[in-house]
Amino acid sequence: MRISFDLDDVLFVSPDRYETEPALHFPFNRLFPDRLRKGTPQLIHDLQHAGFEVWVYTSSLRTETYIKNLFRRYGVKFDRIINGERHQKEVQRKRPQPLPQKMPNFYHISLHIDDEKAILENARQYGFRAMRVYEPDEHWAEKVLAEAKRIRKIEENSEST
Amino acid sequence: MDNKAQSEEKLEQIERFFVQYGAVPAGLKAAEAISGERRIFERQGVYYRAGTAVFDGKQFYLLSSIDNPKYAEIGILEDIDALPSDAPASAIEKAVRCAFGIEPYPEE
Repeated sequence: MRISFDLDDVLFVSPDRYETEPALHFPFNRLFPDRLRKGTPQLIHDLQHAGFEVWVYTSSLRTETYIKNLFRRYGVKFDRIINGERHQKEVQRKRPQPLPQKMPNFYHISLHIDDEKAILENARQYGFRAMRVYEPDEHWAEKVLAEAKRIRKIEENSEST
Repeated sequence: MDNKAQSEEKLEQIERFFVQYGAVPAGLKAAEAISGERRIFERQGVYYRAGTAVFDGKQFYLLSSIDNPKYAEIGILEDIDALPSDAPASAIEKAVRCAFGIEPYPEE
């Protein structure tokens, strides 16, 4: 099962408001200034260890190279990264009607984690599953893992019927 | 801080490691002219470049990379590793091997 994460205010957070992973040591903190929400590397490892494919799906125009190399410094390797440019190229394409910034079902993503309220409305409208993570919460990682396992169980049950 | 000749030698050393591990000059002369930076190399569809930067008065040698040819063609690469100016050849070689994915970073 595939699970994807937005970046800004989900995995990339401000240390003024959230507990964060330790900053990379100098000068890597200059090359990769974004800060990770505390618990992010462990959560990604736990999900992958539990058999989930873990993706980044962001509307940000940060390059895949930047995202991949920042997370490498924290020992994290995503199965795939979709940034704003890739979404535009592969999902929006030349469609005259603008689609939402993220369409997880296009990539067969079973659960998308995001901070935006609109993602839940889009999930209802376009038929995908989303979970909102948007406040400091020391249990956020456990909740994401629990929700991922719950969704997987639903999908397994529906496949067997 | 290295002088100009020392810097040039170190940058050429990085580029020799690029070639040793299978990269070739990408021939992106327009990109090099636009950016004013050094030659861009290519290996398995990923682009690399050596450079320098000063952070807080300290000189570092940079490894830059991008996997998007559209960006490479206009000389835009991301800085992915930084080595202090006194880094020995062995450290530079290891950094190139990590950047190329031949061996993992210590954190991995």
